[in-house]
Amino acid sequence: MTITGTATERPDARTTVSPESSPASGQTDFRPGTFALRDAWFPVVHTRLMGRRPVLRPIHGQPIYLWRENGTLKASEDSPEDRERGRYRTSEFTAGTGFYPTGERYGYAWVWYGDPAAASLDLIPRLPHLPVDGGLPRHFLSNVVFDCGYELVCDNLLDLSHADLLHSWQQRVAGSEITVSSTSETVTMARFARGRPVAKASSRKLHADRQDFRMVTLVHVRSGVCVLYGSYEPGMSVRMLHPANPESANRTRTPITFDLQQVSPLVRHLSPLSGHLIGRQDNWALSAQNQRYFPTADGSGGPDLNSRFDIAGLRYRKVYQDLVARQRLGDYSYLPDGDPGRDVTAEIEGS
Amino acid sequence: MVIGHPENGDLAAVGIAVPVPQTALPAPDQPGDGTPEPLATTSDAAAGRPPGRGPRGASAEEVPAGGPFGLVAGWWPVAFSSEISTSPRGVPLGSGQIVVYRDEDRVARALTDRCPHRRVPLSMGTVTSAGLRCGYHGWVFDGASGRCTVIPDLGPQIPPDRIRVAAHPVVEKGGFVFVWSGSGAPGPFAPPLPLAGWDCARPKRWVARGVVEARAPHTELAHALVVNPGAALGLGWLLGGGDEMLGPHVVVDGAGVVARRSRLTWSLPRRRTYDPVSKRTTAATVAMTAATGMTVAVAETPAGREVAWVVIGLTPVGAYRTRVRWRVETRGVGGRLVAAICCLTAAGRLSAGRGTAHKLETAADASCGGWDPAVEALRELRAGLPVNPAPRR
Repeated sequence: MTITGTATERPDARTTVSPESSPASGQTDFRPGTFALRDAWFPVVHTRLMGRRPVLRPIHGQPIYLWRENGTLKASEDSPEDRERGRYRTSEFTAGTGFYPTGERYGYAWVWYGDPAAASLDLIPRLPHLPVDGGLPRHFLSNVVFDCGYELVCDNLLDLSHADLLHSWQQRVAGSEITVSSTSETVTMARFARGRPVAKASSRKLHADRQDFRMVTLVHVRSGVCVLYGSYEPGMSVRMLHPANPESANRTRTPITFDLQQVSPLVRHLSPLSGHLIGRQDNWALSAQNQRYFPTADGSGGPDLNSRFDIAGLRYRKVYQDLVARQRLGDYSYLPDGDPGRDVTAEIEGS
Repeated sequence: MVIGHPENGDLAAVGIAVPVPQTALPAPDQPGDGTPEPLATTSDAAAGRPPGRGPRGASAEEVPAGGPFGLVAGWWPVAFSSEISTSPRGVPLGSGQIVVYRDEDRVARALTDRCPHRRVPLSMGTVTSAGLRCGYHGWVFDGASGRCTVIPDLGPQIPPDRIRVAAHPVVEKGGFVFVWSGSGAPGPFAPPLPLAGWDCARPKRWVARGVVEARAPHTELAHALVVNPGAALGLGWLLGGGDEMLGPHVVVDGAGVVARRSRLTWSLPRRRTYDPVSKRTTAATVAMTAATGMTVAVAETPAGREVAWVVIGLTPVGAYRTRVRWRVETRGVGGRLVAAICCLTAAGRLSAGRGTAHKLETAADASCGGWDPAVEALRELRAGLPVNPAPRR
C-alpha cells in the first residue's frame, strides 16, 4: 500500500506564494483554504459522542481517528483496524509515533495539529462558560457541516450585516454599537443594542416591552474556535461554543455546544436544532462563495469591496494573514498577547 | 469574393486528391531526431499552408481572443428571450460568468455574476425596483450601469461611486439575447447575416427550438455547422445530412461566410461501392458570422423556394464546451408541414431519451480532419479580427 505525504508535501505547504511576496492585503490576498495554520488545539469531537468505535475527523486533510481504549482517548493517523493490519502512517504531526497529542476539556476531545513537541494543554482556549469536565446533556450538542473553508465560517460569524437577509427573523443591526478588538491570535466583536423591542411571544413572560442586548463573538483565528456569548436583559443568556474545524478546503465541521440559560426546558431542548436551520441558510451563500476565493490561473477576481460594517471581518483577515506570513517563515509560536489559554471572562462579559 | 466553386476548376477546393510531388518527402539523411517531417497533405497544398500544419492548430493559434470573457469582441447569444425573466439566471460565457435578468421594466440586463463585496454569485439574488439585490448582504446594483445603489445598513446614504460591478451591453433580437463581449464601447448590432435572407426583425412563426450542450470547442463546432448543419443537429431531413453532391458555393463578406451546397438528404449506410438507396438531395444555404458563429441555415424545396430558417446560436462555455441554441422558423403553408415534422421528431427524440449532443460532438470531431473552403474562409476572417483588449481592473 502506498501512503502519500512527505515532508515536502505538508498540508500547510499548499500555497505557492513565496514568503518574500509583497505585504498581504485583506481585500485581495485573502485566500481561504490555501494555507493550513498549525500548532493549535482543535476540538474535533464531543466526548459524549465517542466510544470504542473509531470516528474519522480530519483536520486540514490530515487523517485523525479517535476512539476510546479502556476509557483512554486515542487519536491516531490510522484506524485501529488498519493498525492491526500493519499499516502505520507517521507524519511530522505525530513525531513518528502515529498518535496525536490529545486532551479532554469542556466536553470535547482536543487534538493538537502541529509539532507534538510544542503541544501544551495550557494552549487549549479558555472557555469560561462551559464546565471544564464537560458533562452537558446530549441535547445541547449539534454537528453542522459547511461546504466551505473554515475561514469563511469564522468570517460569517463576525459578519452581522448578512443576518437581515439570510436570517430575517433576527433583529436588525442598525442602531447597535459595535466594537472590535484583536490580539495576534484572536478577534473579538461586541455588539450592544439598548432598548430593542421584545418579541410578542416573550414580552408577556418577561413583563417588558424592551430589552438590552449584548452579543460577543470571540474567534481564535488559528484554530477556528469561536465563542459566542449573548445576554438579554431582561431575558435569557446564550452561551455557545462554535468550533470551525477545517476538514478540508471545502468542508468545515462545527461541533457546536448550546447552553441557553433562563429559558424554559422546552426551548433548551429545541435550541440546538436551530443550528441546522441557520447553518443551512449560511451554507447556501458560503458554499457558492468558497470556490471564488481560490486562486485562479490568470489571477482574475479583483479585490473585495467593503463598507464600514465589515470592520470585524477585515480585522479577522488581517490577523489571519499575519499568522500565515509568520508561519510561512517557519514561526509557529504564540506571541505574548496571543495566549489562547488566557482568561477571557471579562472580555466576553464586558465587565 | 467567391472561392471554392467547382465551376472555377478549383478541384482541390472541393476535395479531389492532387498528387503530392515527391520532393515534399524528407531526404533520408536529413538531420534531426530521426522522425520524418510531416508530409504535405492535399488540403495543405490546396490551402497554401506549410506542410503538417493542420487546420485545428491554425484556428487555435490565430483567434485574437481576450476581453472580460476571453473571447473576440462581438455580440454573443447567451439565451433565448423566453429564458430570461425577473428571476436572475447565471450564464457561463467564455471564461466568465454573467447573470442575466429582466428588470422591473422588463428590460434585459447582464452583469458579471460576482458581488464585489463578498464574491457571492449575483444570480442568487433577487430583482428589486432599485436593481439586482445580492442574496447575502443585500447590496443592490443598477442593471444599466452596474453601480451599487443600496447598501442596506447605510440607510438613505448613497454608496460611493467606485462600488460597482461590470455591466455588459445587452440587445434582444430575433428571439435571442445577445451580450457584448468587448471591454470597450459596444459595436453596432448587425443582424446576423442578412445575406441569407433572414431578417431578425421580421417575426416568423417559430415551430421548434432546443438547447444542447456539446463537449466540443466553439470553433470546431462552428466548423461542423458550416459544413453540415443537418447532420450536426439531426435535421438532415430538412437541411440535408448525407454526402455532399453539389457545391460548396462560398461567398465571403467582411463579417462572415455564406455557403450553399446540395447534399443527399439521408445519411444512410452504403453497401460497398454501390449507390445509396435513397438518392434524394436537399439544398441548403448556411450563413455564419466569423466572430461568434451565429448561424442561419436556410432550407429550400427542390424548386428552390425557401421553407424554413434554422437559427443557431453558439455560446462558448469554458474551453471545451459549447452550448448550442437552435430554433426552426417557418412561414407559409408549407411551413405548417415542416412545423409538424419538427415537433414530431423533437418529441420523438426526447421520448426516446436521445439528445443531439452526440451528433454535434461527432460532427465537431470530424471537422478537425477535413478541409472545406467555408471553414478556411472562417479561419482567415477570425485571424483578421481586431484584438479584444483585457478590461482594466
